[in-house]
Amino acid sequence: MVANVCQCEIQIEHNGQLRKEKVKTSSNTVNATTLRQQMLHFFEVGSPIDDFEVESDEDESWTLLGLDGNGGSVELDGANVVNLNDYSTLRLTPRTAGGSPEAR
Amino acid sequence: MAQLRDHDGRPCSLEVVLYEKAASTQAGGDADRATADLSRPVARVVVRPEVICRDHLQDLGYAVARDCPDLEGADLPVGVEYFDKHPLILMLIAKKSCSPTWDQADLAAGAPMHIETLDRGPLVKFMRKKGLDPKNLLFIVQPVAVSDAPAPQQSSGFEISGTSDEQREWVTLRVPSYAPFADAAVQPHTELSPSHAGDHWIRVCVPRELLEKLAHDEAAYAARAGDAWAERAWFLAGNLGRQNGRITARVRAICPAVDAHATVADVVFGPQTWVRARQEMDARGLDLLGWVHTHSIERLRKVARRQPAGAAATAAISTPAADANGATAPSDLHAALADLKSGLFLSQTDVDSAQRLGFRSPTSLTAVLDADACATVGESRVDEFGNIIGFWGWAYGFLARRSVQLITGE
Repeated sequence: MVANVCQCEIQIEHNGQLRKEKVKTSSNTVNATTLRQQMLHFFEVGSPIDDFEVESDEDESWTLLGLDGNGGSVELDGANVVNLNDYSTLRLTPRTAGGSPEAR
Repeated sequence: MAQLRDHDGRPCSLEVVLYEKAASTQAGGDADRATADLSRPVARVVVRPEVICRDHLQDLGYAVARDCPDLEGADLPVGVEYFDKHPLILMLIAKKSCSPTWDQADLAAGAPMHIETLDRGPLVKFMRKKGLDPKNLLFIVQPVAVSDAPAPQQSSGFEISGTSDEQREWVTLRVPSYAPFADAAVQPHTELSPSHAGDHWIRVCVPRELLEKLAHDEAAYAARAGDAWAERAWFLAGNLGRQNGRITARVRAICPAVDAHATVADVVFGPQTWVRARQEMDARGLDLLGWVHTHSIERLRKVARRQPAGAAATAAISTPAADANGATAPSDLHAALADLKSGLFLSQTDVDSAQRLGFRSPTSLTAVLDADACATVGESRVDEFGNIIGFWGWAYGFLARRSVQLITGE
């Protein structure tokens, strides 16, 4: 059971819909990579196997954004520590691509 | 973990069974065809049915809404049928009640699920973690009795949980609702590249003026950009609803994808692309219907000619996953480019993005604009759009050419 340390809204742009959930977390600070993995896991994107541990988002197909409630947004990336109290909303958006990934 | 019900009404989950691949020994057989000794599986793994089948459950919910409008908004339990003679296909069944029986009157709709259409990314990761080479394996998916063993904990020191801990016994699907359009009249139209599927899956209406404006915009951009030309992308925005009882996608705007990064061979959305698009669509009261991006075969060929054979930049250009007729294309880049008659194809990247990165809704459209054909048009009136733009959409896990009605007016 997750301790009710911090309550926030998380969103994911998935399958043509912006899905939103009110959640609670076990800490109010976390590094961005872990947060992104946990959000993918929460929305059950890409972890359909029972003993599948939460892994790194290997191909970095998703961008994590912190929205401040005034229309501003910040990309949260890497090992930077995120204070969940700094953002009203956290949103995952896909790094959609057309063409060739290898050309990047 | 939520559960499906098998044909006998028993709770079940889904199991992936992996077999070692053995090359076909059939004389004159397909070189790519492989066989396996089905008596000797190399691994078994139970998968979460509500997740591995998520896309197909969406398709099933859509099929119920399309064929049984009176069930819109209902939460329906889902069962699964497995055919020993056809182990590559499972049938997902939406039931009207949680009754374990499979009476005809209790069935709302069914949808075939070919295991080839499952998102295999997580499965491949799992195999690698277990030291198995996915290239050497074949797999089937079959229902198995639900294990009483608790699911292993998944924790990395930081956890998120929903504010409610609802645990549903059945895998269920919510049948989507589609409000009727205020305008019931069906506009005069012409068909853009009628497909074999026709408009049975969904009716899509696109104003021809929007497509003409898009073609002119691309031609003007190409003239300005010259050798600096790069792929571009747009969002298809509009409304989804019922027109005369039929589910209809009505495109009303084509919005540029801002903050995208592109080269001659690819276009990649940036952090702000989705955010800005969602803001614009919300402000205009529009739904996301799909996306468009450009291909230019002429420019790809030019890049390929500039590079020595085997050079990294040449090999980097992805080969098409499907041509205009949906056929699998050859793997060799030069052969692929030589065979292509236009930019109206989907690369593997396009298919992957459509499947995992934003456009896997049963109503989502993936469109490709042929930049070379647009340049030919220039600023002149477009009478024939069939060689300028192509539309694809999902049907039972596969991307297929979609029939589109070109309408006049807004």
